[in-house]
Amino acid sequence: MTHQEVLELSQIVGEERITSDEIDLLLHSGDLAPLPESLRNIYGIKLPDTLVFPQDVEQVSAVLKFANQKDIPVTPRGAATTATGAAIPVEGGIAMDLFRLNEIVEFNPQDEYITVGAGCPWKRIIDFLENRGFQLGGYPSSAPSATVGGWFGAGASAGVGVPQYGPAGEQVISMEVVLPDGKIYNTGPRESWLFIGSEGTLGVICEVTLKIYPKPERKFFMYDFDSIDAGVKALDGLWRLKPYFLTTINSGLASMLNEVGMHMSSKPLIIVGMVGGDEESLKTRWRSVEKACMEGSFLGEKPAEEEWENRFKVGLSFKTLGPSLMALEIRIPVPELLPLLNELEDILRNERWGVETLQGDHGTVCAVIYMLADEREKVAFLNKFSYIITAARLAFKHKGFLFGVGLHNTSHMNALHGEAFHFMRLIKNKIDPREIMNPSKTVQVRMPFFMLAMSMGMMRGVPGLVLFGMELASYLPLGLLRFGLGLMGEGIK
Amino acid sequence: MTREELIHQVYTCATCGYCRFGCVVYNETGLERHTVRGRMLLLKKVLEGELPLDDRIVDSIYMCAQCQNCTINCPTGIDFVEMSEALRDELFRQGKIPDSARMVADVLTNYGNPYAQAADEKGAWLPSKYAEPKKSPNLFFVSCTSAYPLNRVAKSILRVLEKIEYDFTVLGGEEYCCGNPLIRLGEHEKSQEMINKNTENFRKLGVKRIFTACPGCYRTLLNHYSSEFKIQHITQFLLDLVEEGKIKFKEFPKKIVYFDGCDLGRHCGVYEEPRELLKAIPKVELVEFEYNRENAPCCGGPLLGGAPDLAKKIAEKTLREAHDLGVDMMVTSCGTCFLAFMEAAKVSSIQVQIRDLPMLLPPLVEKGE
Repeated sequence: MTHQEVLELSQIVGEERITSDEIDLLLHSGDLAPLPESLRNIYGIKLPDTLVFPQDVEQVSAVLKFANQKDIPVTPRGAATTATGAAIPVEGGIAMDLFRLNEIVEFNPQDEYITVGAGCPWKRIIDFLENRGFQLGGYPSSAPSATVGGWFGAGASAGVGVPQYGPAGEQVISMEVVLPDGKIYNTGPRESWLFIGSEGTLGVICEVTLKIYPKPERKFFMYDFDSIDAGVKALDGLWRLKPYFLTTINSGLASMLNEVGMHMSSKPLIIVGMVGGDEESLKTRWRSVEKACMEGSFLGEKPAEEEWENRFKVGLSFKTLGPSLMALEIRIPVPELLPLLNELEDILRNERWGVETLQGDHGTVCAVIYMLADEREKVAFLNKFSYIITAARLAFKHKGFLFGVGLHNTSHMNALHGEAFHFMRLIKNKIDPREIMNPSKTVQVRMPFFMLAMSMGMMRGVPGLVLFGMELASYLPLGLLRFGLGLMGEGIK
Repeated sequence: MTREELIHQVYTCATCGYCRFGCVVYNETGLERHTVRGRMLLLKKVLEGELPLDDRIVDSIYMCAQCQNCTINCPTGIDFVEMSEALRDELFRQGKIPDSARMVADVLTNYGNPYAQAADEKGAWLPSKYAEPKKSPNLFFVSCTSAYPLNRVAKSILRVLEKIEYDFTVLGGEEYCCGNPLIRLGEHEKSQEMINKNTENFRKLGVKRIFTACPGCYRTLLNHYSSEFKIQHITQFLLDLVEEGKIKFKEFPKKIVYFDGCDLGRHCGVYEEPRELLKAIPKVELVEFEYNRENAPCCGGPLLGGAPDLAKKIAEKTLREAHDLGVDMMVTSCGTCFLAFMEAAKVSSIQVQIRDLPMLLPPLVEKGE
């Protein structure tokens, strides 16, 4: 962007809502996965030129209109709590932080809906509703930071509430979306699906109206099982009961949690969950839970409730043991959890690892595979980094899918979607012909699969050599690297 | 906190951003440099030699009210307040602290109080009968805030104690700053001098029990002074007297919301005593903020010196919420919170009655049995 363009942009959003300070650009252009400088170079990632905080939908529209005219890339971001690179601006341009759209716009207890800004963190909505006797139909496990727009952008397919109410997209009554040309567009429940899971490549979600439900009586359960087989069998019965919350912890994860002062059972699999209902239906549901978990041991309602209270923290509370962490997320059908866990035993035998699953929709689980690491030990860390490709292979093998696409997983899209991938690209080209919305993501492959597979393979075999190559790459001019990528990849703007 | 521990914390940060949830500074500015995860990323870059430890990073470390709300939400248990004490200590040694902090530190070391008032004036507000500190097992530690800008609070406490004929002493002009502000700024040598002077005075007067209305002093007396003294916040002390039957209250038919300050709340875990004390007043109707106790937001007060406009904006948010609750008054038990809300009220259209808890009491107190 030219200096003049930045000036024009600051007139659109106001001087206090734009910054080009390198430190802010750096901090507002990453996500959960620590990307070493050399890897950023290999991807050809350019820092954004400027960062804006539009304060309402009109400003979002004005920024997009401007960017579309000038052909400047725009990458929207919420709390950047995925690790797929979806929120990382790759082509420079404008990073758009939706932080200021964080209001609870309307709460309507009579008609049972709530309208919220895209930048509102989920926990604020959860707390607001719980204090007023309501609950949401779905929210992510990273609710204290994840934003409304961010989670819907990422697909919203596993989380609290989802096993009971279905994919969170079904809770959407309407959305206010700004298209790449700046047009403000109000969707109904059906068209909303176009933007759910589009990872900011088709437009910017600015406001969402969600269905809400009166908060029922709740009962919490926690069982442990002598074998993974028995645990998965129970899980297969439990998800059919449509619990509000359903999660599992394997013994590897439990041992790490115990090391940081929790008190988990050390059996192969623990299941924690919650069902709701009125007094009568709750009794029936509770009996069904007991029946499904016949082969397990009941660990009490109180510890189960404590797990519920702790539900946002479990997946990270042991990170200090690393102190870094590799987390791989895949979505698979429940029965596949058994072969997956068995296979992981073999693949990860040299690692300290654990798995947590969060129940998704239609009998799927989002399995998060955690691995302790230390990013300061560069060679060993690279070795662990190569498991990214393993995760994709496992997802594929176990009739599943990656939890998100973003930047790092685009090269698997063809394999996973087949024909549908081309259909997605047609939509992208129609809505965003100038490719200003979050370019190089989701439907635009940046790095061909063979390159990815080769480099990951080398990371496993000769990480030292890969490290040398990466270090070398960081000395090459970015322009040259991008030129090379442009020859091989497809996602260079 | 050792350097190794500090570095381990930097790498432990999961960058999940839960720290953003209750951070009043971030929720005003929207900048990641004002969040713990942002600071950890910056420090990582500094440690790896990718960024210099320049003014922007130093500012990001100091642009924090140290209210510890981030720690409540952090899944990996990062305690930025503890970290920043170590960081500020280091920055102080390197001579890299921001000008605003330097000014505050200079005022503290030159005047012995954060309000740039003459030290021998500290007892000026006291009635003449308290001019000479007498020997007593009970000491009312007045605090700089209650001695200079807020002696309404100190006077209220005197009146309550006189009404019930309680035996106590005050240090007047011989009371030094407890050391808290200098500890927060990273200036540990000077703060220790103050601690030593005060301790000497306590011992001279035969003091056993110390109570204070200032949560900052309470926190410091509790954590940095000898354990030979029983330290109480005024609300704990008065609640004891209520339970012993030495104090009774007249009716006060008001709807009140209580605001939890950070020093007393998150830092010291005192949530229930102020509420119990308010409930001991007949006809008081106590209501709660949406986020209270350990989840309460910060008032913004600690930033009044370094970033006054931001501090007032932060305080105004709480004023608005109190107003929306339809209360007769908002009560806090911290001078810093009280001042922050008063400053915000001056520039805001929102009008709510604000009281530091002891100010309510003189007209309501009756001597018990």
